[in-house]
Amino acid sequence: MSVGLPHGAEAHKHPEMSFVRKYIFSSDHKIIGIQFLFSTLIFLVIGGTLAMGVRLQLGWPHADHGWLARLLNWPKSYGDHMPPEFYNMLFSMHATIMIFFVIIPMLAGAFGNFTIPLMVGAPDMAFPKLNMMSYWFMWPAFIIILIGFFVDGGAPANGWTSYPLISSLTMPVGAGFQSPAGAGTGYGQICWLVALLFVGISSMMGSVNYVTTIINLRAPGMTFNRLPLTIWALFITAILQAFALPVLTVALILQLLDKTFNTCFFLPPGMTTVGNWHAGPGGGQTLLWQHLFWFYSHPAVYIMILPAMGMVSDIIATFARKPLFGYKPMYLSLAGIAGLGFIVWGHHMFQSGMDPRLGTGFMIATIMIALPSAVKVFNWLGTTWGANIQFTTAMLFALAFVSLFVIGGLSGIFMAATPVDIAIHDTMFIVAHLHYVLFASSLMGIFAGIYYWFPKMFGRLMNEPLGKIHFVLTFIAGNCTFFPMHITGAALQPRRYSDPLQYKWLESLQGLNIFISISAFVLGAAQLIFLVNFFYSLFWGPKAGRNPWRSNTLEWTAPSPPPHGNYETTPIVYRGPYEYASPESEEDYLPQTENLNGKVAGTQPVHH
Amino acid sequence: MQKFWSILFGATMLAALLLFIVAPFVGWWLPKNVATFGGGIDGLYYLILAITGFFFVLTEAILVIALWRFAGQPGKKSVYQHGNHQLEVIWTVVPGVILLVLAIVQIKVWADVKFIKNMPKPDGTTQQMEVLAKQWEWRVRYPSSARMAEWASNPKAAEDFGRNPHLDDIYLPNEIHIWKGDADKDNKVLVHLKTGDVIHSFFLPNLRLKQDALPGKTIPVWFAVTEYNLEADPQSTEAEPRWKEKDIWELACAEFCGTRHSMMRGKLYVHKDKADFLKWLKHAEAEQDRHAPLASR
Amino acid sequence: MIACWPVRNASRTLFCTAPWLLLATLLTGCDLDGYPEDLRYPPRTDVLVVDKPKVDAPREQGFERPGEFPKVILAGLPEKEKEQLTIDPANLKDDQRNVLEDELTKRFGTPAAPRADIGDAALVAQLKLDDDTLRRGSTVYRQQCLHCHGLSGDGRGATAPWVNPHPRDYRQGVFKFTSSSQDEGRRKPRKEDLLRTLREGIEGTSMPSFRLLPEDDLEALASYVIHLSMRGEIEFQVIRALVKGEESNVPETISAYLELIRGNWQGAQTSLIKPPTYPGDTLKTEEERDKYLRESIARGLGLFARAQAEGNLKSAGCLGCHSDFGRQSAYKYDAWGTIVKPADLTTGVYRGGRRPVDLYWRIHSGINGVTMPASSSSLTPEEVWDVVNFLQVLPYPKMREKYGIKLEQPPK
Repeated sequence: MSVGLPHGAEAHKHPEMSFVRKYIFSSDHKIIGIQFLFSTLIFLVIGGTLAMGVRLQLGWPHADHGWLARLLNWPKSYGDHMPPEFYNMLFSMHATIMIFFVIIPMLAGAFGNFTIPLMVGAPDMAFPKLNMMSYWFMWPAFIIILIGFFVDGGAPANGWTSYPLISSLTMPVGAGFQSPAGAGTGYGQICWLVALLFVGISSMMGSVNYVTTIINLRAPGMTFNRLPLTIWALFITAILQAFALPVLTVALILQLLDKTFNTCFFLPPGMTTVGNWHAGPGGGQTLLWQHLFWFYSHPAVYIMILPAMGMVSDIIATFARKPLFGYKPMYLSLAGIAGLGFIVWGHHMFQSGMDPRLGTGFMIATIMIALPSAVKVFNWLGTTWGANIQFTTAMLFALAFVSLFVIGGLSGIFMAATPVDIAIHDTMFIVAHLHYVLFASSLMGIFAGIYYWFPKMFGRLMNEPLGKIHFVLTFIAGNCTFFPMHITGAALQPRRYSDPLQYKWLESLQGLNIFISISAFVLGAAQLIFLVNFFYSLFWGPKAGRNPWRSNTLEWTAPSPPPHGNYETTPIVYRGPYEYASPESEEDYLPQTENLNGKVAGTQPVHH
Repeated sequence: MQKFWSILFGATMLAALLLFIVAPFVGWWLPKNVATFGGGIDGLYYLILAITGFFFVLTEAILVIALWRFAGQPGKKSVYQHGNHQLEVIWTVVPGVILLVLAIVQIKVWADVKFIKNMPKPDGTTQQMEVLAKQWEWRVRYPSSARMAEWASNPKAAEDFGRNPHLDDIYLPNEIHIWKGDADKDNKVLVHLKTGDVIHSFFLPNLRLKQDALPGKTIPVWFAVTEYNLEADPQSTEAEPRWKEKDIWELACAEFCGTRHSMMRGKLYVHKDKADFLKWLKHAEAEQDRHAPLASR
Repeated sequence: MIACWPVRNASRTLFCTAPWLLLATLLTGCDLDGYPEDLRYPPRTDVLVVDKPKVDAPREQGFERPGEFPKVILAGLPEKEKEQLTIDPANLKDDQRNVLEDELTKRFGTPAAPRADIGDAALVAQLKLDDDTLRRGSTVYRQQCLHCHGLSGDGRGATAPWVNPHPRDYRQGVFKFTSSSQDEGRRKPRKEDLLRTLREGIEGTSMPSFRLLPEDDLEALASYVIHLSMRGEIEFQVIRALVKGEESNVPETISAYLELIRGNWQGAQTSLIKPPTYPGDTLKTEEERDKYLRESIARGLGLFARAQAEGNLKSAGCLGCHSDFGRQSAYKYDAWGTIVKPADLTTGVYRGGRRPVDLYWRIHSGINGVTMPASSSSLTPEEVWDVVNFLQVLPYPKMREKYGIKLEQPPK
C-alpha cells in the first residue's frame, strides 16, 4: 500500500510559466500525453493515405493513373502504371508508420501518459523530466522517418519486417549510397533503422516511468486490487516493452552495421556475389535477424492490444453501468497474454527454415495464448449481460472492439496451427487477421478511448451524433474491407503482391478485391468525420463538467481539464473502480473516492 | 431506437457468416488440392473452421442479444454482479481443453510434412530436383535419364544429387516436372531448395506446400501428388513431344523479394507416369545437348 | 442524446456517399491494359556512345554502385576521352530535332499504336511487324518489360539502376547472343534468338524466363523489341550523322539508314549458322565416343589456355580475357558504355544459353557489343567443338578429375 506522495498539490506551486514551458517543453504528463496524441493523429492520416494507395493498386493492378503519376513523379518509363517499387514502398511504410508511429505511441504514449497518474491518484509521473524526454525523443524519429520519403532511392520498400538479405546488404562506400537487391534499400532503409531506434529509446523511457508511477505513486487506498484495468494493462504493457525493446535495438544496430560497415551479421558465407555485386565474406545467418526481430515484434503486438483491452474494460463497465465481470481473471489474463507472448515469437517463422521441431513448441504456446484472450471476451460479454447499456460513441467503439476482437482472435487460431500455416502463411489470411486485431480492435479501442477521455483532456465534449456516424461508417466499411480478406486468404492469395493478376488461380478473386478496395476508400473517407469532430470540438465543443459519463475512476473527480498537479487534495480510495449499480448508492455509480459516511473503506461485503 | 445497435452488430456479423458460407459455391475458396498430405492440412483447416465458427456464432449471438435485451432505460439499474467463479472455471477449462486437443492432433501432420526424418531419402526411388530461387525466377535442375537409370541400380549414387551438379543435369527455368507415381513406391518428390540471392519462398497452392529458401542453406522439401495434369496432345510427335494441361497448377514466391516478387510465376507439371516423364526428360536432354539448331527454327 | 438521430443520419450519409463510390471506379480509367493513347516516345536526351574505348576499365572501378546507373556511362575515363566517344543529342539543331521526331512518329507510331513503316512489306511480314502484333506486343511489354527496359527500349527503366548487368538498351541495334551470320556490317540476331532469350531468360542476370507466357505473346513481344530496336537505331544513326555534320536532310538520312538497317535484319533472318555435324554424333560405339571426348577436351584445354601458338598447336587466346578461366577477368567497356567482365567459365552459368550449340555460336561468332571476338577465321569447326567440350566439363570437379584438368585455387 502506498502512502506519502512527494508533495500534495497545494504545496506544488510554480511561478507562472511561459507558453513554451507550459505547452511545448512541458513536463506535465497531461500535456505530454496530448502531444503524443496530436503527433500520432497526424501519422494516422499519413499511414491511412498510404493504405489507400495499396488498395488502389490491388483493386486495379493494371490501371492507368495519369494525374497520380504526374503528382508523385513516377518514372516515365512506367507509362502511367504504379511502379512495383512504389507499391512495395506503400505497404512497407503503411505498416511501419501504423505500428511504430500510431498505435504504439498512441496507446503507450498518449493514453499511458494521460491516464496513469490521474487514475492512480498521483499529481504527475514519477519522473516528469524523463517523461518529457520520452516525447521529444520521438521527434528525431518523426523527422527521420519522413525524410525517408525524400532521400535518394525513396522510402524503404522491404516490408515493415525488413528481412535480410534484401534490406541488409552492405551499401558499397562511395558515391550513391544505395544497396543491391532492390530499390528502397539504401538511405531510406537507414532512415528506417535509425527512426526505429529512437522510437525504442522513447518507449523504454516511458516504460520506466509507468512502472515506477504505478508501483510507487498510488494514492492512499489504491491497492493493486483496486486499480482500473486500464492501469493494469498499461502496467503490464510497460513491463513487456522494457523486456522486449532491447532485443529490437540490438537487431536494428546489427543491421545498421551490416549496411554501413561491411559487417556480416546476417550474410551467410558463400554469398559472395548477389546480382553481380560483391556482397562480403559472410559468416552470419539471415535467420538471426528474424529471431531477434520477432522476439521484440511479437510482444509488440501485445503492446498494441493490451492497453486497448484495458481501456475497453473500463469503458464497457462505465457505460454498461455494471461492475466489470471477473476483475481478477481479467488482470490475470492480461498477465497471461503478456507472459505467453514472450515464448511464441517463432510462430512468425514456422516456414522460415527454422528447425520444424522448434515449430512444434512454438505452436503449442501460440495456441494456448487463445485461452486468456477467450477468457477476456467471455468476461466482457458477462459485463454486458444484465446491464443497462448506454450507447455513447465510446461505448459503441468498445463493443465493436469486443465483437471484432473475437474475429481477430479466432482467425489467429488458423495460423497458430502449423500445418494450416504452411498454406496460409504470407497470404491475405494473415493480413485479414492482423487488421482485425490491429485496426478493428486496437484502433477502435483507441477511438473509444479518445471519445471517452476527450472531455477530461480538453474540457469539452465531442459531438455525439457525428461520433455515431463515424462509428457506423467505420464499423461497416471496416468489416467490408477486412472480412473478405479472410476469403481471398483462404483462396491463398499471397500478400505483398503488386500484381496478383499474373496468376490464373487468383483471377476469379478480383471482384472481391475491388469490393475490398472500394470499402477501404469509404473507410478512409469516414475518418475525416472523426478528424472534423475532434478539431471542431477542441475549440467549439460544449463545455464538459468533471464527470460527464458518471464514471467511478479517479480522473473524473478532477476538473476537466485537470490543472497542473491534478488533484486539489490527495484523493483517498475506498473501493474498486467498478462499483456501478451498487446497492450502497442511490445513483447507479459509486466513485472510488466517495466516502460513504460511517462506513469504513474496504469493509463492506462485495457481491460476486 | 437503442435496439438499432444490436441490429447493426447482428446484421454485420450475419453478413460475415454468410460470406463464408457462400464463398465456396462461387469459387472463392481453397484451390484444388492434389498433394497426399494436403488432405490432412485441409481437414485441419475445416476442423478449426468448425470450432471457430461455432464460437464466433456463440459469442456474437450473446453480444447481439445482450445489446438488444439490455439496451439502456433511464431509471433502471443493472444487476450488481462482480463475476461468477463457476462460469470462470467453465469458460477457462473448456476452451483450454479444446485448444490443447487441437494442438496435439495436429502435431503429426506438421511432422509428416516438415520433419527431415520423415522426408523421403534420396535413393533410387525418390524423384529429385534442385530448385534455385533467384530474383526473379526459379531455376530447376533435374537429373538426366542416364543418371536416373544409374540410381535404379545403385541407390547410393542418388545421395549427392543435391550437393553435386553434373554436366548432364537438365536446367530449366520456372517449370516443375514430376510424375504421379505409385503410392509408396516412386511417387515421392524431394526438392533441394536453394536461393541465389535473397529469401524467397517456394509456394505451391495446389499442394498446400510452402518453404522459405534461405541464403546459404539448402533446405529439403518433399511432396507427393495424387493426380496428374498432363495429357497427351494429339499434335505430339516423336521429335517434338507435346502435352495438354488439363489443370493449371502454379508456383509462386511467398516471401517478399523485390520488384518482381509478384511475377515469379512457375508451373507444376505432373506427368501420368514415369514413362511419360522420361519422354519429356529425354526431349529436354536432347534440347540441352543440342549440337545443331532445330530444323524448324 | 437523440436516439433516432444516428439512424436518419447514417442512412442519409450512406445514400449521399454511394454515388461517389461508384464514380471512384471511373477515376482509374477504362483502358486497363495498353499504353495511354496520347503517350509519345520521348525524344532521346541521353548521350550516344558511338565507339568503344580502347582500354580496359580500371579494376578499382569494378561495377558501378547500385543506383548509380545511368549516370556512369564510360565511368573511369577522363572527360576528354569520353567526349570523343560520345555524341550529345543536345547538339542537334531544334528544327532538325523536330523533323526527326515527326518522321519517327510517322514511321514508328506511338507506344499505344506502334507500327513499322520501314518500306519493305516482305520483311514486315517475315518478322511479324504488322500493327496488330505490335500493338499486342506493346501491351505485354508494358506489363512485363517496361519497368526494366524502359519506354523506348532504352534499358533505363525504374528497376534498371538496381540490377547488374543492366537491362539491354535496344536503341543501338546491338544484340549479344546471335545465331546468325556475323560476316559484315552491323550484325543482327534472328528473331529466334530473341525468342530464345525470352523463353530461357538470361541465367546469371535479372532477365527472367518468360516461357510461361502464351506463345503468341512471346512472338508479339519479340516483334515489338525488333520495332523498338529499329526505331532506336534509326534515331541513333541519324542523330550521329546530323551532329557530326555528315548529313543535313533529315528525311533522306532516315531513308538511307532505314535501308541499311532493314537490310541487316533481313540478312540475319536467313543466315542461320549451322555448325557442321558434331564429330561425336558420327561415332558409333561408346568407346569411340569416350575416346573422342577425352582427346577433344585435351585439345580444347590447349586451345583455351595456350597464350600463343606453339608450332602447329593453335592458340585461341581465351585466357587473355578469361584470366584464370574467368575467375579473375579484367573489366572491360562494352558498346553501351557500361562495364562488363568476361564470363567466369568455372560457374557453369552461360548467359547466352548452355546448350553446346549455343556455346558454339558464341565462340564462332563472338558476342556483339563486347570484346568477345569471333573465331570463325582462326579456328576450324572441329576446334570450336573441342573448346566447347572443354568448357562443358570445366565447371564440374568430378568431371575435371576424370579428364585430368587441374584448376588451382585462385588467389584471394
